Amino acid sequence: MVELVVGVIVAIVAVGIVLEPLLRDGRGSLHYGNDTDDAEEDVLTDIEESESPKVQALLALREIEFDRETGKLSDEDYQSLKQRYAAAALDAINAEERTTAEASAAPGEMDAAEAAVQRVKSRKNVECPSCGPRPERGAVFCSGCGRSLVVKHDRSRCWMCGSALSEGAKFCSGCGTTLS
Amino acid sequence: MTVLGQLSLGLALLLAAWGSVVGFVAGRTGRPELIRSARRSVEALFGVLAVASVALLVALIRHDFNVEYVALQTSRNLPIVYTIAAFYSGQSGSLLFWAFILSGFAAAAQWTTPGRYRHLMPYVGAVTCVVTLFFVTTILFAASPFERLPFTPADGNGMNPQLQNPGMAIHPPMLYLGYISIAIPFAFAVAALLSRRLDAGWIHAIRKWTLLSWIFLSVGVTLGMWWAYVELGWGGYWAWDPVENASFLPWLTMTAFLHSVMVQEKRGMLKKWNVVLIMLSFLLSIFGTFITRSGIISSVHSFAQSSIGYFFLVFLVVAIIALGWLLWSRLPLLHTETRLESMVSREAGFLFNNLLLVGIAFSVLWGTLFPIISELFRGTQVTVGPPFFNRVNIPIGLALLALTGIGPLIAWRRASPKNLRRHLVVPTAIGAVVAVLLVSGGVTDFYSIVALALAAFVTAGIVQEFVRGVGARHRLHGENHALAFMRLIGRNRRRYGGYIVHVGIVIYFLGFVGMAFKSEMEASLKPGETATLRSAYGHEYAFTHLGISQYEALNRFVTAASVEVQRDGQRVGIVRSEKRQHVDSFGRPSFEPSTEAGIRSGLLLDLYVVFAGAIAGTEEAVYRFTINPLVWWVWFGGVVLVFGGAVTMWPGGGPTKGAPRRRVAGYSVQIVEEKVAEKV
Repeated sequence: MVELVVGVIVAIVAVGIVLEPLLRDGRGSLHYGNDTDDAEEDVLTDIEESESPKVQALLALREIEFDRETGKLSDEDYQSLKQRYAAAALDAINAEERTTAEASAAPGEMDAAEAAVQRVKSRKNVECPSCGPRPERGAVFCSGCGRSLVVKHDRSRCWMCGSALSEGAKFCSGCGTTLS
Repeated sequence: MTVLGQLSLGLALLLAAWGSVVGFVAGRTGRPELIRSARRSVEALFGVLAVASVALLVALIRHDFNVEYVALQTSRNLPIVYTIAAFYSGQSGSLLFWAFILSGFAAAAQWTTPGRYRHLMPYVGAVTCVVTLFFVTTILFAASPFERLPFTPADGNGMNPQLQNPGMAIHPPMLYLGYISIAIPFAFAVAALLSRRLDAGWIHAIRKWTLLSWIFLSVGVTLGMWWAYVELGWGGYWAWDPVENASFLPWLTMTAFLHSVMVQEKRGMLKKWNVVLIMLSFLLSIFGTFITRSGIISSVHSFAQSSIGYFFLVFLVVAIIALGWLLWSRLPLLHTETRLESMVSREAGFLFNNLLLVGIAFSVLWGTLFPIISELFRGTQVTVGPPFFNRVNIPIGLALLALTGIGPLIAWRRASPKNLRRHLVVPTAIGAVVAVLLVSGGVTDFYSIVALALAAFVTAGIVQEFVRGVGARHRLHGENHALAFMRLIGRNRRRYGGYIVHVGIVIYFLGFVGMAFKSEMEASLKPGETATLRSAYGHEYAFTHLGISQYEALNRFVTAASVEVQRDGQRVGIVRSEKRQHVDSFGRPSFEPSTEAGIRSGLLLDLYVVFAGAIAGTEEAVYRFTINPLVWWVWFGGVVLVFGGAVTMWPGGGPTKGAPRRRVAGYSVQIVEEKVAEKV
């Protein structure tokens, strides 16, 4: 008898749990499944999982560099692969900048690659708090100590990976870092 | 507890059916309330199957012999560990165990998958519900563990003595965990096909699941070998038995998948192949259960046989047709993004690795199914034995071992033969030295020489990889060598964890080679008489029969025979082997007598003594003595393999933190800078 009662209770609870979303007709008061929770989960845990062509091309470059250093790639192969993936990365960076530019409704008459070049040229030489001024224009990380040089309230670049950000972005499109 | 158990199973049937339908509809329509309901069915399914499992465990622990399953699998004098293990030692219990674990994995997949894969989750839920539905249906309509008997026996039948072994408490669950967890990557693959989202997303989502299931399978297969070794008493651990093969098949295809999936991640190639591999792995895991449970092919493992084989057969056929159609209809979406740049590249290496692994899988499948095929066409079951499997698989296995050594030395994308040759010099030289040493040491077995030389070659290659990697970090980042070593592994866990797994595989091969040098003899000895046997290392072992003793233990009568062992005249110790007659709590014999081998295990060799029986009530004993070199290394290989797998899977740190992002950003700036320099 006790078993039957327990069984009926289990049945009622299980059916209730499964049907509740239908009965409440998705008014959004549930703990899971609403957009905020999902968005918070969305931070990439591994940069290799990024589907951004830019990140993928840059990761390939990193690997090519390491393979050359361990002697697996000959200098010729290294040069040709590097050239190809650098071009792919640049294309991706350009595409990304173009998207950002379009998103911020800036007049996009200039050639996108030219725009990227102009942007870099217009950037100032930055200063690392511990290593002093850096020779690389527009550096996002210090080439001496690796420290991020993007201040967190700079809304134009991601402080984690340096990707350009579209206006009002809550997450970085390059690495998924939470920006708010 | 049978009422609660039956009720829960009935409820599970409804929930699984609901989850299947709602999951598919939710996936197609994207309606949020249906998505939530589908997800909740997966969670509720886990809950009700947990209730059913607890009900069965309570019946087992309470010795409720009115329940047929409890009466058949346990007895009052069975130790409590085995009473609990009886949950999965019998047919219907193991099916419930399977359904329960599957529902747990399915719920875990819903909970742990990051939100960016949410478009796949309703389909994933639906697929896991369909598979659970199949198991629950089989349990309810063909093999329920909650069936009651018309009477209550005073005591149960007890557990098969061969299953009363500590390995038995963990071997089946591990293998099951491996089998069952394949269902999750499989569900993601089907979800990706159904949703037509066939980018690398699903591959990323299942990364950890694939590794987890591969580790469980590896541990399960190794523990199975260990169980066969200590319990079956024939002196070996692998006999190409159908059930052993059934556990080996999904391991092979999963190993192939683990490698080829990297090619898809990095290069966008082999998309169709990866989907096929994961489907094959899942189907083979079901096929494995079918073989174990149907009794269609006779095997030492056929502990449970019944008509449920037909359920599995129908499920397999339906699944193959459905998956075939799904794959066919999505073929245009599975085109390759890039082409193979060179045959001398890591991806080409993986391609060959896959061909070899699938080659082994095909030959094993063919050999396993041959009795059925021959019966179909010729009317009699013709069994192909170990000679067939060894003849086909040893050469392929050795080629695979060679590839394990070469693969890591080749760069991704393109490698020049000159560079490859430079990398191969040291490992090849070391392999050659080992081969020369073995030949000059008098070893004549061709395959053993090749295997050991290749083992040395692979190990040298892996050591070289670590050394060069540390050197590269030292030069690129200015880290000292110790730090560079730690970071090399910590920040490239997949690659270097994978190399540790390769070391584990090499150690397995070392153990396998030992079997080529085993020596054995049979002898009938009166007390005080001695038999001698020479080991592969040239030592003379003398086994002196001491006598036979008889006594009663918890649930058995034991007849034990002991021998004193001497090596070249030096005393080694006493080894004892037993014949056990299991009895129920009224002292009635419950099974055929079983043999417990006496094993003295060491790094170099195992002494394996089997007491075959006493001669007509005298103290004269018939023994089989076996000297098995290097067996210990098989088990140790398993430990190394799991360690490597754990390194690969270890969460946090490494590449997940800022370092690679920083490097990526660094390249980003560098490339733009270079272009600026070109233009200015």
